[in-house]
Amino acid sequence: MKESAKTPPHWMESLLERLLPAQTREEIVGDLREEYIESVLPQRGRLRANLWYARNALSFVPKVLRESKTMATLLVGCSVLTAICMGWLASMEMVLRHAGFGTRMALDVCFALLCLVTAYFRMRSSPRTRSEMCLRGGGLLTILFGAQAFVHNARAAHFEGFVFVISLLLMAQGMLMQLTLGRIGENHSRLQAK
Amino acid sequence: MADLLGTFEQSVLLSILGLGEEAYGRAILNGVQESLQREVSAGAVYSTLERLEASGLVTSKLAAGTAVRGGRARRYYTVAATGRRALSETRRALTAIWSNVKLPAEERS
Repeated sequence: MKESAKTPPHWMESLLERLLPAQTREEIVGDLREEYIESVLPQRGRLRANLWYARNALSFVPKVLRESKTMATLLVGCSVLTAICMGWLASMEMVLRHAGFGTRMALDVCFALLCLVTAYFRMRSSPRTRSEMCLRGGGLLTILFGAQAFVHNARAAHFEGFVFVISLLLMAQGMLMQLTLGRIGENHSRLQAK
Repeated sequence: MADLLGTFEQSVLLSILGLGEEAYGRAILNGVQESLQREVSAGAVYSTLERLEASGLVTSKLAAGTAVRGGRARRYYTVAATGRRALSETRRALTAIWSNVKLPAEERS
């Protein structure tokens, strides 16, 4: 058997190495390689062993997504965008002045503020990415205003419901993140105190 | 109650304790699978190990890599004193919760 046939496919290994953060890359890739060579390949054969490797490599995707800056940036970007949409809806309510516009306007403003609070807390939990987030937020704003310029009759679009649901989901995600981070921190400090 | 360790965390910590000096990533994963009697994703185990280490419940040290690993280092884990305490607390709390409780199925038998 050729030497390369005894090891995991090179491209899969390289892909996993690129996916994982530097501090855990070596041990995880090494562990998988060791198990692949010593037990999986002899027991299951090449094809099934490769499938095993791919499945294990894919199991790290949620972890990487959760910890990556991209996800944090995405959450902040979406929160800011939703806040802008809610602000815009509030201004439209004020212009159109349909029956009951006051309540709807107040709700829009409240949700816009809550979305901004979500974005603020998410940014505060990863301050190193703040400048990057500001840059991306600026990009999103540019896109939004560009799109608004094209959609002249956007006032007629009834997408309040969608924006409302999105803002609720974003807030729930933000709160969940804060609670999880808070709980881990509390546990740690409680145990350290003993 | 919010401070109790979850089932998965307990399983990881107990697996490390059971493996002793040989507690590294894949061995811990196999131990967890054995104790929970189900397939467990590698990502979940490594994430839990990272989280436990960040919380100070486990400590780790890197050992030199071997040829079969392509020279990559292996990380060995040890349960810290805080981890042992957390396990004891969880066990004590769960025992207290379950004492004097009889499920309907048990009462009939």
